[in-house]
Amino acid sequence: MGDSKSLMVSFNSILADKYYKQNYLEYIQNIKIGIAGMGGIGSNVMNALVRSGFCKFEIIDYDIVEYSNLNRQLYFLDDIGKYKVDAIFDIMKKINPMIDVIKHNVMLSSNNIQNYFSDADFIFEAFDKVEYKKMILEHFGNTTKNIILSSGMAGLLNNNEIKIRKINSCHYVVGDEISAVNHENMPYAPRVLACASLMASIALELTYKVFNLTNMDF
Amino acid sequence: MNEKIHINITINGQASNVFNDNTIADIINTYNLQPDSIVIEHNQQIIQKENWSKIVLANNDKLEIVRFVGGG
Repeated sequence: MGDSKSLMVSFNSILADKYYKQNYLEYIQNIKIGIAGMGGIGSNVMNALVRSGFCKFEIIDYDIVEYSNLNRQLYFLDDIGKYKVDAIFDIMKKINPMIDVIKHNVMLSSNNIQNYFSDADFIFEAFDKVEYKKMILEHFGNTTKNIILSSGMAGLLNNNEIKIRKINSCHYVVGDEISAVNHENMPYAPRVLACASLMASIALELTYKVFNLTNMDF
Repeated sequence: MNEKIHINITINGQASNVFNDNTIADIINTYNLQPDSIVIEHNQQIIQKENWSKIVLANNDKLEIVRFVGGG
């Protein structure tokens, strides 16, 4: 524990010393991030956000890590068989031991969705099935939460088609909106990680803009 | 019988010309979209599927059609 504490101090102080003004770092450390799904998109979004200094997470996934996940998801061989929410928490603690993660090892449905993300500032939709992707936007879309959705990242081609589309001031879709995952078109690391990185970048861009508007001396 | 007139709306950021009696459901049919794979935002409000045929579009309306494909 002593080691974890000193690692935490050094991680945050590196961020503050080298990358951010202290007050912006404190601001993003209090932003609440919800991630729905801990597969290729969710695990890589969380990786980018933890490394960028975000600390507060609420994550949902019911699944366990399988061998076939390792081609694109952030897990390692010794995570196989673990619940994804447990495995990702253990990996992320190796970057920042002081992250605050609420883990839900459940399958989201229209019957229980109201129990989650009630105080999240950002919701990242990282599910694989269309009906669950839709459910996130339909359920939370008429709130003021920032919602970042993923659509279209399968295959190996047309990599420059992965893009951010702003739907309105708080809703964004990332992907090519065309390439569905199926038996002929599997998901691979480069496009999935490109999509996840662009999604994570929106949280940094929006917090940076809001912070600058409210703290003119930044 | 009322005469149909054209109105200007925006669909996914692109200017578009539709009739003044067109509903959201008409637009979805015109573009041949799969209702089960899309979410509709009409003037920044999410519209549930059962209301698509009830909302008649007006001049300068903004429609966003979010098309989901599997994978994540």
